[in-house]
Amino acid sequence: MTPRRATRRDPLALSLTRIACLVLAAGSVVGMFLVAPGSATLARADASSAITVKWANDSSSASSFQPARDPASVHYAGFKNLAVKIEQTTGITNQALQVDISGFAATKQATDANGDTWSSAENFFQAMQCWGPDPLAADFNETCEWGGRYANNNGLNRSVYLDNIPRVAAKDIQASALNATDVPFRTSGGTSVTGRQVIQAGSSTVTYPLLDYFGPATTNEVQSVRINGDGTGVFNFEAQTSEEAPQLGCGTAEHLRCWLVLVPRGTVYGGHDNSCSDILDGSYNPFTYGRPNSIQAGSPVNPGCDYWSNRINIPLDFNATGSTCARGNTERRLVGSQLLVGAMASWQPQLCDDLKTTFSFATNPDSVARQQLLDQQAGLAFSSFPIVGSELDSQLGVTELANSKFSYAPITVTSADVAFFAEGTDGRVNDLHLSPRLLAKLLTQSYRFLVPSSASDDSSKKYLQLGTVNRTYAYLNQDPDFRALNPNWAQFSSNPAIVIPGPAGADAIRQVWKWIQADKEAAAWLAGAPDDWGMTINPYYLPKGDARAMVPTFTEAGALALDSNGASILNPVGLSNADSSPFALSKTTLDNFPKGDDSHVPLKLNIERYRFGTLQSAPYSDNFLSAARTVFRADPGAKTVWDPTAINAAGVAGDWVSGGAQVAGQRFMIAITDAPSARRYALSSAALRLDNSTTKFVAPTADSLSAALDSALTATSEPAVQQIDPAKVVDAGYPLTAVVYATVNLTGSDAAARTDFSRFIAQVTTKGQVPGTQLGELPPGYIPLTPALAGQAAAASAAVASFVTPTVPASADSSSNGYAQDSFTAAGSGASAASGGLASGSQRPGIGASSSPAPTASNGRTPTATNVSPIAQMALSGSLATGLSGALFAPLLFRGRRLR
Amino acid sequence: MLKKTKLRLGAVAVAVCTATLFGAISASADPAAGTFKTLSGVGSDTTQDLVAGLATAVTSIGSYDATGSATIQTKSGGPSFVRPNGSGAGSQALSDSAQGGTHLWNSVDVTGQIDFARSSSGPSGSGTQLTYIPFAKDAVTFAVNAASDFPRDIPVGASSQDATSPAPFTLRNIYRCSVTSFTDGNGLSVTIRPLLPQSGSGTRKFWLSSLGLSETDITAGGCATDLGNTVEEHNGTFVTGPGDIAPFSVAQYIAQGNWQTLPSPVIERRGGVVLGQIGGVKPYNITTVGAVLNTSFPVVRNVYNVVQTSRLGEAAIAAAFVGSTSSVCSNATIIKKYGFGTIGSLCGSTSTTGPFTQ
Repeated sequence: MTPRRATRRDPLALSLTRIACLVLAAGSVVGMFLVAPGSATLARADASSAITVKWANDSSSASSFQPARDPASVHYAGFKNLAVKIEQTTGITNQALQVDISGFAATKQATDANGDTWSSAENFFQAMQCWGPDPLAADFNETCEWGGRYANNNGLNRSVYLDNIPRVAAKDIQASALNATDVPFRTSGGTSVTGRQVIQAGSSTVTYPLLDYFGPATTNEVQSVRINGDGTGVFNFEAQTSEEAPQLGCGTAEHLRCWLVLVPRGTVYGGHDNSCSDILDGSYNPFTYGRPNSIQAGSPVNPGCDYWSNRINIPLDFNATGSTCARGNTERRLVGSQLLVGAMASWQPQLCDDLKTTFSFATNPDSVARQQLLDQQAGLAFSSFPIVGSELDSQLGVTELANSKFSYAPITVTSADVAFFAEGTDGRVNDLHLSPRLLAKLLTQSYRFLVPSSASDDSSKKYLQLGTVNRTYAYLNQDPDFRALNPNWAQFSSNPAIVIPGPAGADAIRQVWKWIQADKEAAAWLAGAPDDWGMTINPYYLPKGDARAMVPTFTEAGALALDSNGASILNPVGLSNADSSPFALSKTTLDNFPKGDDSHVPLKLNIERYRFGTLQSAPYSDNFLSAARTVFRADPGAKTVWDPTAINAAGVAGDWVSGGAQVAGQRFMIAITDAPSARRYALSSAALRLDNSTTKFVAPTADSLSAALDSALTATSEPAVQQIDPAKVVDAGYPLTAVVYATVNLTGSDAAARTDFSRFIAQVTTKGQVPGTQLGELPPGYIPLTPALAGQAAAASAAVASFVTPTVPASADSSSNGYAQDSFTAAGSGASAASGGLASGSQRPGIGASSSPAPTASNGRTPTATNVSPIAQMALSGSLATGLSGALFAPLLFRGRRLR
Repeated sequence: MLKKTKLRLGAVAVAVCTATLFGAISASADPAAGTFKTLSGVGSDTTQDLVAGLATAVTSIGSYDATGSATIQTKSGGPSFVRPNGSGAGSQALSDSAQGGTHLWNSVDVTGQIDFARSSSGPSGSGTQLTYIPFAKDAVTFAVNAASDFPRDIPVGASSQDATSPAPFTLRNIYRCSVTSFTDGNGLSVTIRPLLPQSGSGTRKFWLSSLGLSETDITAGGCATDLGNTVEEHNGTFVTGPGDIAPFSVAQYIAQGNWQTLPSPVIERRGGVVLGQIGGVKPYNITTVGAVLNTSFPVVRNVYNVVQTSRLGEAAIAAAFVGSTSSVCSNATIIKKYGFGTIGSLCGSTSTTGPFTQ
């Protein structure tokens, strides 16, 4: 009954629950399935810079950086077979680095004299990032980021022993301690920060100055990497650049090389006295040096213990951070698709060097980018679909569209990604199969673990908005629909937290809905039909007015509201547009994910002051990248636990707080994100079932993205824009593949801008298509353009450069300039040109000579030949961050749709 | 693996008697109205009776129960404020008392009103502002209705069994809803209702962590309930149905059973519960002096008095709490009478520190 390590007192809730401690208690190889990465372009690591370092007798290229190992050391026997492998050591950005550990022994828990059980007591690893130039220098430990979790709510609970967390011994940390030994942290700028608490001069306030530099929410230090029974362990370390961690300065000119330092913690106590730790044994006597089978007490960076001498130093060569563009460059503002975030981060510095132009990039929803392009707020926008009249809100927009000319250049190919992080008792699970219907179930809050619920409510009144079958599934793997596709998940019974980007939309999200809608059984299920086992959609996601879109109501006292006949009073719910007209998820293709369940809990307020709903129990993530990072950190951010001692916004005790990050060994997070973000944070990707198939599951790989291009590239209403139709993807193609286009507003930009845009397109579609992790290359998660797409891009680049601004209104003269991409003939353009009248140049209907005011405006926009003075220089990083912040998303909320 | 049930008809009568005889509410253990002690303490329900008992011997201590009147006044001329209920609330109120200024306790400035907090769990997070001084050992097990056929010996369970089908009958699986019923003596299925003490309670925190669960596990898709945050720690009257199960302090159970012979008033509120064994180990042994905590029980914890670290040197605090010769630690007889175990030279240690709450 009682297993080896996880005994009955195993306080898993106490174990390392921390974000960056993305500890994969990676199980024995049994039960682990790796999605084959296809070919090298989607594999995230640059294999050439991988390195394996042995703890003893190392012969790697990093051997000269390792401290000498003394065979007489009390730790030697435990560590002599250790080896660590780091998948990438050059071209480092802010990313997850996978570290594989072997030759160790299983992590053990132990109970201290207080009765507290520490889940990572013996045999584990600690990891941190350091900036010092010499990893063997005596004061190298002062350059290491450690001690940032010495704070309230550090999330570590009872994983590692208390005094692992600060830099100094417990006896030394208090400001009032006498004869205290400090272990300061030195910033890369040279400031020395004490590792102790201090008392502010002139007051009695005690502060911990280190938190001014890094704290629980920002630090990347890892307190415990657990080791499995076979002596192996694997975890992902978040490398931080000078932008995330200015105190380390990695990636600045002075510190292009920083260090990943790994400290093994074995079973032998390494302190001589209380300058290391004051831990006591069962008889309440202090531990002695060399004591075997001991809780690993003491800080890894504290020289009062000898753990630091056991460290392994791994050099990390960072990409240069910050703006590498010369001041005074012309700035060109690019906007649009989130799918370009990873690529633009890699391309920008190279573009500065090569083109002497700063291309700043702000992401926003594709549809907003198209509108901005039309409104001439931007000259070039990235998106995956063309500008069409039906998407525009106003007649003015339609008029503008008729008077404008655009050129479309394919820029890159990537995909949306159902990325997940699953870690069970036996380690990480990398293989997940999803059908369109299963994903629809997860996206529509149709499982009971996805709707708002409170421990305050009696279980008999919970989840009543869901169907009776739905309510019987306490865990995802109890759904036979799920089990049929994922037999190996019988061994994994944690429930997933779903992280959804939003509420802003993206064209990539349309691909997800199209994939679901194209599948017959998923579409039927979305429309309200039960699946083979009787599970139905959450009624909140049915169209408003549907007879089944009804939910029970409750009285203020938390009882079911009953009518005079004793029947439950039902309330109509459902999805509707802004004009109250209903819409159906089975038919309307959204570009966002609504959170429709409007139930609020607890049903009866007791000491709680207010209820919470879906937006609090499953908050949106700003964008694809942050969704991936949230999954990486395994912290869903759901504020569903009533803490009577938390101070709410009104200054009163009592508030809903987060239950914290998921517990190691019981983690399961799923995000809808994009392939580059998933690769960046080393997430697993679900293999998706092809529509109306039963057996074919495809994960996003370079091969499967290529296969999708081959089989399903379909004309849109605009001949120059072809897009993957998820319904047409066959065989080995990945259905969520998407081509991203750069759209240039020819008539809305001046000649100088068009020249820059042309050169931009030319460079990123040639030099920028080389896969790799170095600056200027195409990062993992993208595949290079096919020759046909590259040819189209070259033609578009030429057309943009050669475009001549009409001197008469565009609408009257469009034929003289012709279609700006005339040297390229898109496959299938013949068929689509007829159907998409609005988008093709010379034959736009309905905008005749009567639109005379527009030409005047158009003339006014005609630029002069003089150079536009450079816009105020903006650091690349700043512009990226601005875009990522989601500040531009607000206007887009549900574009014309609302939930009710 | 215990799945089957046992007929416990005899227990029904016993339980009914217990409830009838001892169900009456006794007086609160707070210092008498209008009298104030040097050291005022608030917080944990688990240790309220023990500390009140110690206060009969250590006269500098005034201990205010976790429940009772809505508000309390702890210093002559001081404000009335909301009675802190539970370990978390006790530490919070002590933090507010220590920090003052903008740190209000339920909108009241309680600066200097609280000298120590009772806590049944150690610190969460890292810090030094508060010192957690251990003084006794408690065990925690589950309680079920004596009249029910609920199994009386249940293992804790482990996450490695989460996927085992059918789910083993373990405490972990009960609280994570994998096991939702048991079969009673009549062959009928009884739905289990897992209860938790109110949020902020040290026992809730300890119980969940002992089962390897987090608050998130309880919330998302969960089935355990605190009945609108009303379930009081160690109060068996909430265990009403045949399928109800709740964590219970073994020391509290013993103390409530000894209520008539204890030096301070203890409210017998066990209702009709009996304590279960965990993995075949009994939570307490019957000896010539009555029930005594089994210190080799698998789920044990130290309990603490929490004081502001900067006040450790104050004579009254040092004399009462600090060191194994302190007044509290030298009253081992009282500690045992209230059902707790003693911890020898660890009693009075000041090496465990934690941060202010908020």
